[in-house]
Amino acid sequence: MLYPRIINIEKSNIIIGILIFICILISGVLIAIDFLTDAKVMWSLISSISIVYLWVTVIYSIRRGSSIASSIMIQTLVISIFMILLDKITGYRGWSVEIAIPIILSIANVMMFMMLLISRRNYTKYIIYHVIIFAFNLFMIILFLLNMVNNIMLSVIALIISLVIAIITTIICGNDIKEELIKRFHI
Amino acid sequence: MHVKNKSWRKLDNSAQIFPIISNKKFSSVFRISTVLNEKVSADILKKALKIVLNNFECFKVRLKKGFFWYYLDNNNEEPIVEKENNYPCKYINKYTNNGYLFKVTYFENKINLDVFHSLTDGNYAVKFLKEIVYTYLEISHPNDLKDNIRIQRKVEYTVEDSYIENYNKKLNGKPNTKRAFILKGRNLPFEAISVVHGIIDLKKLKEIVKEKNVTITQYFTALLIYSIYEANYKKYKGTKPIKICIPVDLRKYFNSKTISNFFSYITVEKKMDKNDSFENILKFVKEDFTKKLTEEEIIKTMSSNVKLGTNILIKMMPLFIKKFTVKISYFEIRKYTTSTLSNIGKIGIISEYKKYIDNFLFLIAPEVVEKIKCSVCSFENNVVFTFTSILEDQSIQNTFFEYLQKQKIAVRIESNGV
Repeated sequence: MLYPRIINIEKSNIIIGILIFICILISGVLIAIDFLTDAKVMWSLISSISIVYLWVTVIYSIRRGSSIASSIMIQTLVISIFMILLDKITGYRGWSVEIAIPIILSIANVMMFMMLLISRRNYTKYIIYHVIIFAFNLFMIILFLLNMVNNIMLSVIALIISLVIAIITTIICGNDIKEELIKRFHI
Repeated sequence: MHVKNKSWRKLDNSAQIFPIISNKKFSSVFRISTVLNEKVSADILKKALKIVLNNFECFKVRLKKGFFWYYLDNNNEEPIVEKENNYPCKYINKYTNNGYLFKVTYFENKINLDVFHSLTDGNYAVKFLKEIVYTYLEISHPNDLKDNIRIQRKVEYTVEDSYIENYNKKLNGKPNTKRAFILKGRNLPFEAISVVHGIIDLKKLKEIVKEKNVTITQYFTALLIYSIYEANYKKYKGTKPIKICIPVDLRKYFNSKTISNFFSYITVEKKMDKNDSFENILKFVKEDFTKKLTEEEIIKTMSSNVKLGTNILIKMMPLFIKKFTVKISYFEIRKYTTSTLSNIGKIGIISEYKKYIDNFLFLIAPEVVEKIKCSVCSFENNVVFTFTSILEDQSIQNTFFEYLQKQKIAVRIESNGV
């Protein structure tokens, strides 16, 4: 006999299907209640977005092979979007871009720096994620230049933190960063 | 053996397309297996693979995404060896394979090497598998086989992109832009792949092809067209030509020892006439091969493909846009071929090791458009013609092997029972 008998090829995704169905059902019920009770704030949207965030986190976390650095980057991105939406739903007052996102970016930067301190060898694999998080910081400054952010104090602090970390990182592993950027951007 | 110093390398010109177009239904994976005359031991196989991989540093890589292109990065993870538990040539999931672009599995007496095409082509995959088998046998039969039997015969390779080294900017091939007859029929459920191996008596086959003054590949191509015509084309009242893609190893035409891909292809295009006989088809195939399998034509086709990959606009396009555009255009391009027939030729083994080996098998992954693919390899006095298919209907396979048997060529059939 040259080949094994293949019995169960595609693992059943019934449980995931049921869970997704339950989540959609809950969101539907919450939206319906929201409409019927005529609330001032669309709170059902907040819960629906929370469910989406939960799924993004669960799917990304259980995916084999995803690194800590990529999880930090994805969480930074997803939580930032979530904060903006939350701000928007509750009658946009700008706290998401002025307070929440700078804090999130600072935490992400510090976490990436801690990873560098713990293991330089592993850090070289994560450089690109750190570069992307740094680019998010620059994006905040662009928002300020476009007059979309009024209070930039926390954004500036976040930028200073990221700049300091970027300079230290460049001193410690400048060649690795250069090599990583050459790899990632080769044509 | 050249050991690379750089921690990463670019994909060669043809390897660039595979990660862009591949997915679960279009795996771009081929398999080479060896059937031993003894049961395979997982532990010995693991040891053998680790030893061989140290000599094939270029295979210790993982595929990574850049901003413009994918690339191959060093991989220091342990290679995985496991019991065969899925259909052959399935998509290699990087998360379950420690990032490697090849997968080694075993079942009973068989060792399988599944390879994602971005890593290498059939030529060097065979060399890699042969090294695994040699090392495996040396570990399992230390008194009989000593490493020094083959230590003199090192596998030499480079990692250069031989397409770039050898293409001619001024030459242009004739593009294959007409749709081909696409095989019809109900697909197998659960993404299953059926495998049928016809183990054919090489001596008798050689007599017949000599008598007809054709090569084995020409004979098989004609018989494949005939079988498609009789078993599928007529039934579904096909109108478009039957087109068979034949990959060609470019190392025969250029002095290259690259471990990267270095192949081109010719497309045999037969417009079917009412009641076309096998003899008519064979005559046509022979003439078409003579026209297309010339150095000049091969270089033209290669050069056209290379020029596309070296186009500055394409190079500068971010990967996500490339993926989108290539996928759309490839969806159409795939319809220009009915099936593929790949012949890697004779697999030579050092005489002292032959008594431990029963056969070699070569398989390529079928997909939603090319629902049947064919592959050929030979070992000792056997030619193994393999059909891999996602169609429920097996009448093309039956017509093919029945015709050979009618010619009094001994054929032993083995399958995966799907």
